[in-house]
Amino acid sequence: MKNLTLLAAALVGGLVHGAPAPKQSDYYTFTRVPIPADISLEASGLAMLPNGKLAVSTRRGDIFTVSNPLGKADDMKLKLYARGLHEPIGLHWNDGWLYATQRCEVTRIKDEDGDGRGDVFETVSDGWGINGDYHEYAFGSQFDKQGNMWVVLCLTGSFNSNTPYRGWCVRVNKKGEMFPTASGIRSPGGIGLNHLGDVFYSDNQGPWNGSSCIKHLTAGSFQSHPASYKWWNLPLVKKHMGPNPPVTPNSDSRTVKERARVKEYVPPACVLPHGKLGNSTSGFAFASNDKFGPFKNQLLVSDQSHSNVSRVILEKVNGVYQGAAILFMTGFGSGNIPSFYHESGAMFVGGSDRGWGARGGKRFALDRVNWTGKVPFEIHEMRAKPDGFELTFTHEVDPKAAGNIASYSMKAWTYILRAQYGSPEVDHKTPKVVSATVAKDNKSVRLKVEGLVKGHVHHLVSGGVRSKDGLPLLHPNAYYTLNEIPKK
Amino acid sequence: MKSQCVSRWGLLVLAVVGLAGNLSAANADLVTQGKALFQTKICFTCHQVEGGPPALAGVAMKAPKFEGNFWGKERTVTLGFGGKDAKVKFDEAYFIESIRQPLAKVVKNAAAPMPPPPAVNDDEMKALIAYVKSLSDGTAPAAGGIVAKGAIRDFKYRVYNGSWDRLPDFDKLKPVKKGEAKTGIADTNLSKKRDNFGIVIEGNLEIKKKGNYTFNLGSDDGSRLILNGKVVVDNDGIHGVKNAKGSVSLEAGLVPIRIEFFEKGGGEHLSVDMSGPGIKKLQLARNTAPQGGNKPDIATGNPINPVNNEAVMYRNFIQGASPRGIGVGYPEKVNFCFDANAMNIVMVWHGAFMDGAKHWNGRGQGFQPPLGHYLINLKRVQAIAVLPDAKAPWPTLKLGNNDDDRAKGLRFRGYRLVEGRRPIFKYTAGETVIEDYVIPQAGALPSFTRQLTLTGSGQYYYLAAADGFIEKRGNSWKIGKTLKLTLDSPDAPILREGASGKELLVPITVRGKAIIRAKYEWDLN
Repeated sequence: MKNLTLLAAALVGGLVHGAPAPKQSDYYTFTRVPIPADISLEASGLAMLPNGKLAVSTRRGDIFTVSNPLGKADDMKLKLYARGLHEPIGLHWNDGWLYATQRCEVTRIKDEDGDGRGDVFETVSDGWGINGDYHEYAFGSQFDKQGNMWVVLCLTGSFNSNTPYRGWCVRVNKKGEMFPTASGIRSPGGIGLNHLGDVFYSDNQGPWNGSSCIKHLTAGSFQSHPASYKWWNLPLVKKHMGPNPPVTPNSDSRTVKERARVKEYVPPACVLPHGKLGNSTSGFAFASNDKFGPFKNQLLVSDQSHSNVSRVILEKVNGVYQGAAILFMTGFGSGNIPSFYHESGAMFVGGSDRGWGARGGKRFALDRVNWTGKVPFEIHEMRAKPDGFELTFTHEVDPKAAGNIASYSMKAWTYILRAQYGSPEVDHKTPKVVSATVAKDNKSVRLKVEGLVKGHVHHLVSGGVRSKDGLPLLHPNAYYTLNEIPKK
Repeated sequence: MKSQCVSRWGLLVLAVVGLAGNLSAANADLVTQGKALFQTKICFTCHQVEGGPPALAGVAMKAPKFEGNFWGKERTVTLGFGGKDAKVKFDEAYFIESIRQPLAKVVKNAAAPMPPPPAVNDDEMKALIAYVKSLSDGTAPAAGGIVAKGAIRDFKYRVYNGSWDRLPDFDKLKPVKKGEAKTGIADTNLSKKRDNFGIVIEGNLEIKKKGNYTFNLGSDDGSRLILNGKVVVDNDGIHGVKNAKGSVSLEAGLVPIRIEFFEKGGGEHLSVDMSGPGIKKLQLARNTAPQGGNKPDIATGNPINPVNNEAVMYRNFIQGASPRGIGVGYPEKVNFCFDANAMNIVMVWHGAFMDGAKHWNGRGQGFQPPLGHYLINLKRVQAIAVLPDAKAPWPTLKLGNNDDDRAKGLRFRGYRLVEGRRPIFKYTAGETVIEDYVIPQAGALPSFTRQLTLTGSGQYYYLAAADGFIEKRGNSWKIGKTLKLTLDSPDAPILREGASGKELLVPITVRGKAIIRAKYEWDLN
């Protein structure tokens, strides 16, 4: 069986014109930060300090600094910066302070005496509840343009909200004021802003979440798990969110149906199909420049269980975020949690597999990824059209292959929206690619598709597409979450 | 529970006369490896095991549970997902096939076939099989007073009942139980009692190569390891799980070994392993005693203690505090837990500080109790309040782990580390800033002084103590059974009756700055 699989792999992706098949390492190289044996670097947050050191928070409650993080692995050195924090996730440098979101509060830390260790720990806001359940994680974002940090608060376990604001997104400003912002959170894995300053978080498969996904957070929005409604009696919630909670979504329904009933419900911007791209979507970053390949501003989304990173390419259709997820890279050392992009063209991804397991195989790891300067042949962007999709590519395509409808196949499905844990893929459909028109510059193709389904994940396999040089796509699978079908 | 104990001891007799336990040391290692792989290969997210974290993803998928007696049993599968029914036996071949080809035979009624796990190589497969097999009732590790086959030859044991603070001279005492076996392993389960007992193990170790051997002795409470009549490791006294090591040069041949162990109250633990020429780690003792009842289950293995003469902090779910507990351990061997919900010191203790085991393993469920000894739980109420007058009731907090009742009128502001990384906690009452600083004093019975500095203005009260028993003793106060409190404050303290016992109240008038000191001493008489 093993041999057969290997053979098949060789046939599919194997030899192209006698040259070895392209592989990830041709385009992106990994540098693993060396971790001394007496340190458990269960990375949970990453931030670059003005002195050029990378701060790494850990699930054990430490913060270490890595010196020379952009250099050779041999020259990197870990130093303890702080100890004894409560599982800080989310670490950000801002205005001369290192902000850490602990389970119980947002804290800002300063090294006042300049000995390389933090000595002032100021509580900025501890306005939410915590009751001792291991599930009650808190993830904090970088500050937005208005000076607010967005914090998503995991439920008590999977199903309940047993203390105030569990299952909520709150904003916290530097004065320490807290504003209830969005309800319906289940189990976040990361939070961050995109290049426009819009805020997204990842939520994990479970009750009211058929699959892990990336969701768009806006003030007043509802994100799908109604346990959070419990706190609508709090005056602060009423003040900022209105007198009454949204309509309760029906269980055993579908997202597209409940969106029509629950007007505050913002559907997942992009589903990362469970079991296919991962099992546990976590932190993300985006390349703010062209130093990481031609993928500027796309969300580079980690998965803890599969130890991988997918590209999430979003667009707004009818005012709703949606888009495609495409596997980007695999082989991270442990269960990816935080990621951080440094403008020099380095993406740091750290992780821990404790409690959930991960393909990476190491208990914890911190990897740095750099671009080799060589551009992989990939789908660059995938955009919805009224009658199909438009794909752009990172290289010119062979117009014959890309213009042949037999080069593509498509499946679509959705998930049950329900109070029970998770969901199988349901309502399977087979939309048909009926035409494929390659643009004059050979850099894009327009697919006409019959049978698009609003609300479904559309899985496009572009297995037959070849580049001008005859290369297959490094990642031929794209998963587009079609919340809205554009009118034009 | 009692009738079970009787049958357990019936089994013991059987065991001693030759029926050995069923896990060889090698297999035990394999099971341990398999247990780790069960996590890293993500099996556990779907397949529920007894006592494991909830496998919620498996509930949705209707994944088979590895509970009860399943190994070797027949089950119904479909050939391919949704295919024809077939019967298979849950054995090694089926197990391997299920992992290598999850689609070949899918348990009937599963919502989905198993997603392919990370690659499992042949060695890993063996370990996984050993572990999963051990989960099935039929082959679960022996429990219930059986002397398992082990590395100690000519194995003899004696069990004693009694309450000690240090290991007694067991040879002068009368055992309540004794037995022997050809080979065996020391086990806390040899005692029927879970508190107030002692065990002595004697036998021989077969040393194949002359050389230096290291013995690692872990116990709760005290223990001692004796080889050739000489003490190699001494781990005596009352303590939580504490490890001690010793090395000794041994000649080839049979070496007499004696392990002495006692347990006073609470959780118990005994572990002994040896390493040396040709021996990586040989297990000589284990704990299969049920750690049930109301006894605290102190998870251990990740001790946290002060290093480099600096204080150490542990912020997590600490048993006895609210979920906002912040433990502080000092090199002076005195520790306390500040509660950032109550805004007060709620626990103080001596010796070992904390253990991260509960929170640094698995998902980190539960509240971890302090390590060490002479733990004093103080009333979980706020230290500072504004009252209309000295007769007004002190604000109470709803207690319990599900509670988020915070100190009234106070806000937590964090802490600042001063020399030796010692924290000064800070909280505010309106515009008034309260700094809460502990200055420890080393000694045979370490103590500490708590210094409260209030900066601002207004009339406040400090609740120095609240307890069923508070009495003036000279210049000090006796609080409860073990605490001696000495107050240094501008205004005299007021002893009054509170809602649930006595309250020692100190009025504080703040005009600019006010400082109150309270010395905490352990009075064991």
